[in-house]
Amino acid sequence: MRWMTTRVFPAICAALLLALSARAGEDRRFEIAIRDNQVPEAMQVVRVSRGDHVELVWTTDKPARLHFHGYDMEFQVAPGTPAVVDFDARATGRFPVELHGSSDNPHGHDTLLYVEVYPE
Amino acid sequence: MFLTPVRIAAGFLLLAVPAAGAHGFAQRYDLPVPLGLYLGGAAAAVALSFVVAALFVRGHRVVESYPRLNILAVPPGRWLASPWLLEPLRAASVAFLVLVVVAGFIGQQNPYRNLAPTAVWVLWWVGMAYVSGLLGDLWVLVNPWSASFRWLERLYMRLRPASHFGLGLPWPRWLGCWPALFLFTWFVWSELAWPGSDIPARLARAVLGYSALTLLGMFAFGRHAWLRGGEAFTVAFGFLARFAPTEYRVTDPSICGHCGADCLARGECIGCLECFECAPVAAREFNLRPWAVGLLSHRPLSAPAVAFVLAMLSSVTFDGLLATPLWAAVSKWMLYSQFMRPLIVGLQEVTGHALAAIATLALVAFLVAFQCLYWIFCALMRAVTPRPSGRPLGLAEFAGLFVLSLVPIALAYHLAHYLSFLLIVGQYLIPLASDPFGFDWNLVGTRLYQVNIGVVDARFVWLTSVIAIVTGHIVAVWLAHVTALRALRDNRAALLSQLPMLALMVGYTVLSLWILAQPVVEIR
Repeated sequence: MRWMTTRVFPAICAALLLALSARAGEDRRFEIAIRDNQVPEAMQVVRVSRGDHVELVWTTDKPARLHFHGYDMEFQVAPGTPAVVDFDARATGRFPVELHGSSDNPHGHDTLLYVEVYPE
Repeated sequence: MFLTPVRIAAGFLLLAVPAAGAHGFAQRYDLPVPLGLYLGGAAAAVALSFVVAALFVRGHRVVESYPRLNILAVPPGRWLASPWLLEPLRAASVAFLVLVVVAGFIGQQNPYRNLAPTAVWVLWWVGMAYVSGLLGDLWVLVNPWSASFRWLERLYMRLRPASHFGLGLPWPRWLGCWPALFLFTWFVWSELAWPGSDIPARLARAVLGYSALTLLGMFAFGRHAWLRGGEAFTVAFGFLARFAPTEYRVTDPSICGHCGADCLARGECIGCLECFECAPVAAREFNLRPWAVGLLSHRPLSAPAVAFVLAMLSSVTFDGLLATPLWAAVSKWMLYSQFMRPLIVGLQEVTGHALAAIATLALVAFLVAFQCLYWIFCALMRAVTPRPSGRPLGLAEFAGLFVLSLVPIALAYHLAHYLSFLLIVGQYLIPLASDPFGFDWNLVGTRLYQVNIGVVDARFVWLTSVIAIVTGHIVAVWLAHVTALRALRDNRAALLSQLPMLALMVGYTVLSLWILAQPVVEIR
């Protein structure tokens, strides 16, 4: 039973502590440029951890209306004016950011990128 | 740089998103299962298969019966089964069906603000499958079409005693459950490929059409004949419920001589609604039993039943494949390929959308490929099985005997695939309970409930999914071994026969895990 007290019990305590006190999140900032209704390859998946404070800085070449699913935020971006959208990554998951009604595809919902929030 | 902060209240909001047409209704926010967990799960499945096989190498008692506990023998169980409880439950089920159809037609057409899509796809289809597989055949109790037809039947008999309600056409033997398979395939298509599936009015029209067809079928062939051979969901939930830890059974074989299901050919009368309804109370049992034992079949399933089970398994897997990057690449290729163009353009006329046309093609191809693959493995099984003595088993017998042993893998994958979906999208039922039509009502004060997307943690979903699939796999391997031993009555023959089956099961399990390890990509 020694392993019970030396290994398992501390592990359970640690897990409980982790669960109770969410990790102090980091500040994360991503600059995302929409060109021609797309974002660069490297920006197509934005990975953060739960607890992070995330800032997405958007620039665009055409006016765009975006919908960040799950966290359910809708916002507009206009050319020439970077738009800052920030949120606390509290729920884990993989959430699409969709471009609504671009000029090419007025009724479409093209997925621009995914925000992945991982368990810490 | 001059920044204009666009600050939006973040957090777990469900603000009325401006009705921008139909959103992808089945939006899933699952994170891909990490590589290590995926490989670990796959390795565990393979290793444990050999452990199960090894148990049988040393000789294994043929499992002929299992422990069961009749809960109708004790008062609380009898109260549960009393008509005073069941009839109101059925009335509620019929009322709910009417409510869903009415909501679909007259309610707001935003799928999140109308009861119809959530009620049909989340509560009924995903939820009922969970209940059927884990608890028991609830659908048999609450099927609104069966219930309403029975009321009509009773009313008619009261008005004109000594007459028969319905046309009383005989159900041809060769027809089996082919009509149910056809309707189930149509249903799967409407779930996975039909663009109208999340538009409330179109969904309501489909539900209404299916209801009319079901009532007509019962009127023509009789309620039980249609439920057995034509009602896709009675058949589908019935197969899932064979995994469940409950069964209803009739203990007096003299009653079962008359039913159209030929239920005694299976050895015992389990899960035959017709016999159960006409049996005297003393001959009825509602038993608790171990999980999965209902999938051990004494007699091979008929050809349409085999096809039905395979269609169920493959449609669940196909649903998962539709959200993988692999599918995104395939559909893109099909969209731009000159070779596929005429076919897709032609189908587009029917489905109204090129992507729906592609999904339709792929669905049909996948269903057919899955059937072929299973039959090939059955042929292999037949080829490697030594024939000790007595009559050797034919190909159809192999196929009919072993198909049910695949059900636990499919059920486990279904649980894993829809776990977070059920827990997150299912929450929409809370605001919808107050405002089923999207008219800004607030009947029970929950209209402003905000869906909590953090209700399940990704790590919990990962672990539950992988554990469920590995467990399903072990149960499947065990079922197939027991079935082989029962059918072949020879240890060595049974073990050898299981080599191809084991390969098929490992392949199916690893495919299921692989899909869960893919990032969810929804294309529209």
